[in-house]
Amino acid sequence: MRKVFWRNRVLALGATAVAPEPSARTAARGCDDLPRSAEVVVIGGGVVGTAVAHRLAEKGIDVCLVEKGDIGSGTSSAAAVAALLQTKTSPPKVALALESLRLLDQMAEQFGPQFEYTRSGSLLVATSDEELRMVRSTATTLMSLGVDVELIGAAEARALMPALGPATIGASYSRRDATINPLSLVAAYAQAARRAGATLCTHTSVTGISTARGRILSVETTRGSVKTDTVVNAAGVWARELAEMAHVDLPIEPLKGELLVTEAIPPLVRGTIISAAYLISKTQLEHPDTGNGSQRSAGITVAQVARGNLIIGSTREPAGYDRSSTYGGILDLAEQLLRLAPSLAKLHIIRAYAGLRPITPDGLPIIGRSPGLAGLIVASGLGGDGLALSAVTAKLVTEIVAGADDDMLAVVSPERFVRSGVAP
Amino acid sequence: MTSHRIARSRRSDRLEISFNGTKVEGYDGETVATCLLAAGFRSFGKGGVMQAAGRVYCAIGTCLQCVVTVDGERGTRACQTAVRPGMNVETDS
Amino acid sequence: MSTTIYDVAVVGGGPAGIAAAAETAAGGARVVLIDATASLGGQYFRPPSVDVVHTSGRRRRKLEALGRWNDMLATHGVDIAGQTRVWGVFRASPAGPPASLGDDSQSGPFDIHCDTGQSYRASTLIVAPGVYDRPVPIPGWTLPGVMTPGGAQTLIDKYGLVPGRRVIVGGTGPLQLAVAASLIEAGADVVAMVDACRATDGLTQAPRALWRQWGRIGEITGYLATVLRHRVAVQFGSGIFEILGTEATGVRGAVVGRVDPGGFRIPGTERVVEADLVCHATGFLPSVELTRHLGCAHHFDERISAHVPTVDAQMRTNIANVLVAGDVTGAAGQPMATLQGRLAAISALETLALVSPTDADKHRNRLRPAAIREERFARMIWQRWHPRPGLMAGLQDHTVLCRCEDVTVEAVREACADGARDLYGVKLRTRLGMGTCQGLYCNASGAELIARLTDQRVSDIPMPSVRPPVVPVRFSSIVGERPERP
Repeated sequence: MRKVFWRNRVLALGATAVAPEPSARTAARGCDDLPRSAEVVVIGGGVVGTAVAHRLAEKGIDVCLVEKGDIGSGTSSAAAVAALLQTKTSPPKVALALESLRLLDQMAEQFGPQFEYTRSGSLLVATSDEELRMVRSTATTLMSLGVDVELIGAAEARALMPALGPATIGASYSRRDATINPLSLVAAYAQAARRAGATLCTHTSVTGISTARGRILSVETTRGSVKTDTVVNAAGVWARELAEMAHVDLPIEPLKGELLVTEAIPPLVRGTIISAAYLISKTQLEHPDTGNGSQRSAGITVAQVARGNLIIGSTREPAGYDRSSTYGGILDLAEQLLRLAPSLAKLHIIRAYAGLRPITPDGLPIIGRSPGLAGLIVASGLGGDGLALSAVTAKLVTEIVAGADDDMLAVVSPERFVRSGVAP
Repeated sequence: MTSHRIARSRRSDRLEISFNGTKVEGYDGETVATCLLAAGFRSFGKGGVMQAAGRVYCAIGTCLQCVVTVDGERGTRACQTAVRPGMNVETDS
Repeated sequence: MSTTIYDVAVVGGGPAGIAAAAETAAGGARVVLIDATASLGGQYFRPPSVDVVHTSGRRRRKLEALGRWNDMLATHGVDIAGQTRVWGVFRASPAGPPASLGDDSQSGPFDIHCDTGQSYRASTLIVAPGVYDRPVPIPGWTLPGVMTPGGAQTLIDKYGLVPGRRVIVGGTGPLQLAVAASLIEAGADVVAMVDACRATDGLTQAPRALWRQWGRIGEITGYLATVLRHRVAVQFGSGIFEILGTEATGVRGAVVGRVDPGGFRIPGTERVVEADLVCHATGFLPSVELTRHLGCAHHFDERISAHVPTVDAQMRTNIANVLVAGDVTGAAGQPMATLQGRLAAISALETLALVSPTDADKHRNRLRPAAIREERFARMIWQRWHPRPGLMAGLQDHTVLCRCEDVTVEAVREACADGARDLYGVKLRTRLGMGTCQGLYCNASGAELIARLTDQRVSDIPMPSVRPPVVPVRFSSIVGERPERP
């Protein structure tokens, strides 16, 4: 009764304080009704899920996306702001990243100015001879794979990135790396997906996947059941849990990353600064059999968002599903930053946050039909490369659905774990 | 001048600070905020999204609207910073 | 690493924190008192930083009382860390790096990291961060010359500065009268005092609530006398609808008008009042950043329409060795805050085995009659001055909600139309709460607006997560940290 009292008062005073009905065609992330059936159900509304839903819908496929929270509320909202080529640690990854950024370039035109995406480059910085050797060898490899990278000296590095201090002795500059606002990417995908006819059902949790005789029958959710024979598992760090609902094993583990946000400052960093240590730790932790142990390892990337805040990330800590910001993580990141850029010592940190990367045993995504349940297409395990590889993942999933072939599919196939016996 | 010092206070130790190049009078025990207010500066910034607001709003160091650059250090709360002779205060860039 | 381990660290040097620190130390504990200001006293005592002559006997007596507390702190050897704000608290782990607080396996002492680059270690925490004036977003509230009433009071009391000549005091709250009186005594012209409450609100409780509250009765009478003597236009059932002026001119005046019991505007009652200073707030918001970072349970206090930390009668929270005291638990005023500080001290001493459970209960029982009196008083206060829902009605689209990031009412409305149902959802779509104050001055009003737009109860809108640093901290303070040494 009280609510009615308030609303009547508001309307009487003419204030337009009551929300208009969400428009399914124009809203980026509002919640649609759950359909009775769909050609494809995409589970997970992060950067991968929305990219997939968008691409499938554009191909005329009847897509329903289901997301347990708000669009982009998982790892995508806890990401850093870069889509980098220089940190791609293997030839397949480089190929995937190159293709993905090419696709993003095309989509940037489609998405319009609110999509914060620029090919602003990245600088991989060395502060020791050992790091310089690593930077050089990485650059050589990347160049051979078609990445526009060049080695530069300390002075030139500091000219490109004035924030850098005397510890920098050399660097490699990759011209075509991108900075992206992750939330604007997710919103852009979601909006475009809707416009192309996809149904986006947020605040809807999947409770089960019904199967019979090796085929999917439906997806059960907290808001009802959707009949379908094809499901795309884009559930990020929950992809394993989701796959288990269909009795499928998926070797995906969470890897926590902590980040820091500074106060807003005038433009200082264009593109991304990457410390060599970051690349070293990424390589080691993605291949745990090369033995780095389970300690937190840092190394940092530094980028600046449009508003002016610097984003400094990220640690790599196996911590289960814990997303807390720790003293050690904050201290590590702060120390790393001041080593690289001592002039920033007086800058304020205003927030710390953390996200969970869905990582795989070999550091490559898992994209493909699940062995034993063909209707369950995996699109997960992108680790810390979700932003960079979302577009190519969507393309590959669309090809899988259409039954088309692609050279890249072999290297990301779920089959590889069955063969090598890595899957539990 | 809208803001003014209460007459009924015994001020000792007059000092000078500078604000964006202008000399501003202050007294020992005052803050950057009160000196600026007394000198007629109610806005310490350029205003708007990309630039610091520069206001005294809460005066207890919580709202962070009054931040200025003090002796080269940005993001410093004017309302919590005691003035010292020769202090250089500038609008946050 | 050799670090002093204090028995108790008290965070907050207002009445509750001072009482907690003094009495814990008097009981034999080793105590550090961490306070954000240069001289203790919080929002209640506000000791002057300049040499202000006090004509008011009331003020003089207050400062004498503070002097006695300071003496007690000195006598019992309380270490005082002034001009210090806590940015993060983590459990010290016996072996290895400090873990996050969520880690239940850690039961070591607390490592308290401060923005001064200093850290302290203590086995018990008493958190008494107090409250701050609750902002009311209305058109023009970001103009130069708009302050919180507490802000004006602070400038007058501590620095002898009056921030305006023609003043409107508005909103609602138990301290408006005191602020108006202070402004008058300091030489300003209070042209209007506008309160959303009715003249008679809560007065049925007054006889019981004011029973034996001689100090308070004297205070209120004093303020009233000052205000009436100066013929201030006191308008109950009224509100400030809009503040007028430009960025260049600052405040020029305000549109004032009548409101109904819910705080909603009554159209046709508007009139313009000229002024150069507007002091505007509606009650208080508890400073819960630290208690939420610590993982304490909170609940929505309907009385003040805000989330407060949940404490038992002994000031304990659900987190082991974390006690909370003072206004933060429900804005019940200074006598209650001091009392709660004392109760927290008793609990801390009991945990440290510096007082037996029997003696502890004896001390607690002696405080009970006062606690009951103060609770009755608080009930009356908030009956009269509770935040009115109508304050969030009549917002214009271009009204700024988040000052740090210039997020308007319109942006929040669009976010809700797009599916946002809480502050986190709005954050995903706008930059609300992402600025330097991290939502302190927009979360509460944002939640109220979202509740209205999405037909929910304000109490059902969860507060966004709080992470360290709970105040901005420079990199140099973290990297160059100096742990407190014995």
